[in-house]
Amino acid sequence: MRTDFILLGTRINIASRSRRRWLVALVYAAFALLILAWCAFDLQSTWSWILFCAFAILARFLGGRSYDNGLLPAFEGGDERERYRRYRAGYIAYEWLDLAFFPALIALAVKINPHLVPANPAVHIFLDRLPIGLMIAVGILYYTLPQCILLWTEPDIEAEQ
Amino acid sequence: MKSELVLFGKHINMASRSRRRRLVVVFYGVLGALLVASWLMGSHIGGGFITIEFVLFVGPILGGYFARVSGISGGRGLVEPFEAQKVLKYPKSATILRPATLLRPVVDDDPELRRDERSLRRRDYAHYVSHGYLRTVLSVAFILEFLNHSPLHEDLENMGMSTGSVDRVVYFLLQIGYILCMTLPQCILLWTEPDMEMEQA
Repeated sequence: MRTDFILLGTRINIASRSRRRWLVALVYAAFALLILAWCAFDLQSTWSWILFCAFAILARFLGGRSYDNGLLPAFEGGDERERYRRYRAGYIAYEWLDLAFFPALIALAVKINPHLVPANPAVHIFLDRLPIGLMIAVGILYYTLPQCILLWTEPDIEAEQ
Repeated sequence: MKSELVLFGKHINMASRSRRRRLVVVFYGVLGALLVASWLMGSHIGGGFITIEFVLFVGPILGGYFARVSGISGGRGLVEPFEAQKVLKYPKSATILRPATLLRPVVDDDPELRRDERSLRRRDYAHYVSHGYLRTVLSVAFILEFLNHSPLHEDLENMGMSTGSVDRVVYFLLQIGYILCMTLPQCILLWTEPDMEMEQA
């Protein structure tokens, strides 16, 4: 795991666990705002491309999976301890994914049910946009949660050394 | 993992890997047939509940997430519960105003509920692999729903896919994804664990 990264020319140290936790919280807060903005304004606006670009940049930034130059090394290699940490993170992420999946499924079931058409236009728009908002959240969690769990749980790197 | 399955009071030996693999194939075979049936019935008007009911009824024989659901196996599934430690209570200091305290409940320290290191690693590995398999279903569902809400939805309509039918396909894919999410780790363990007799020898 890398202990620092460069943002707009400034080197930011993330060797301590508390700093990494702040980073994870900021990343998810930013995504929650982006999804809300996208769903609140216009689904066909440039917000969708901003969201996509932000997601692609985040995936590269976090690393893991097949990305090599992010905060985490690519998931293919590593020693035995790293592999077990990765599997453990996969297990924890899986449980959260399961919880996130269900609301998206229910929201879509409500949306496509012909017997449940709300009379209020505002509720109708909300029910129309809720499934895609939740699915984007599931997609972001699917791709980023194992990496974020590793960033969240790994101890302070200096202390370990 | 248990070497014996109790089904309607009948004991079935599942120690050999080939038998467990057959069980996995039959489980997903029946599930696949039900998915097709639910699609034909109209999954958007309730047909989809057949598959959910099947998973809730038959899933307990797999164990794992369903280990404490007493379905046809009487709460004795093949794979041991993924979370073996039973939560007893939250400490007095726990409060909803400090969510972190709710993440550390007092757990039952009964030695029989503890899991050995190997089975924990196998469990984690099964989830890791399963997580990878979900990618395809999730990606296709996500891309379709995204296109449905983008300016490209007119192209989809020109291809004969109305907004409603795309939603229906996405719902179907999410259903498959959710069922896989709940059953795949157990099936990977059943599929990959070696014959139990051989291991004991």
